[in-house]
Amino acid sequence: MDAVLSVAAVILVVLGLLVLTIAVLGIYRMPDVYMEIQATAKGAALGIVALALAALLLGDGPTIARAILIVVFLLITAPLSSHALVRAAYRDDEPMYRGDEEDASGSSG
Amino acid sequence: MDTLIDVALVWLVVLLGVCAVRVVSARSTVSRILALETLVLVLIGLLVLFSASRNVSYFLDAAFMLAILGFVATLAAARWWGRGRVFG
Repeated sequence: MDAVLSVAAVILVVLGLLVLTIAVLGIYRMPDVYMEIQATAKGAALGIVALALAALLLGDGPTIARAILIVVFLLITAPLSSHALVRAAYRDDEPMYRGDEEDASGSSG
Repeated sequence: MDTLIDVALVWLVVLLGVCAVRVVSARSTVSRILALETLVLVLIGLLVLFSASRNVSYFLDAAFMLAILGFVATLAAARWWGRGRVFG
């Protein structure tokens, strides 16, 4: 039972790190602000949820309660803050990526 | 297990540095707010992992307060930049 728990915790930690890395990479690679927000909003929150679940598997009573609190709070607030950010970007007339550069196939869009 | 968590902590600190670079070099203000929010989220992940490795729960209190602060700060900054006032 203990071995199963720690294997699951290892998998969750690696998964959380991977998703967090993708989220941070998304800020750099995406062509406009809206895509950056959609890459980060999901990625960062889900990565931390995976890490918190790992802490939940490894920890005792108080740790479990606090980890559940953090998971619920993040799952509620991550969409709200990304929505507010997108609205701010839209009202600020941030340029949208049109995708009109030609790719290797020669077609646009 | 301990080695994995140590490597994970170092990796999260690297991600923290990458986010800090982005805060400075962002193209627009919204992008900068987003980078700051991501930085706070990576810091929360660091605290959660630290609490799991040391088996103490009070780092999770700090992580939760940081989550609340980051959410309110992002909301206030986005509303201020988007419509010129925070409330209403």
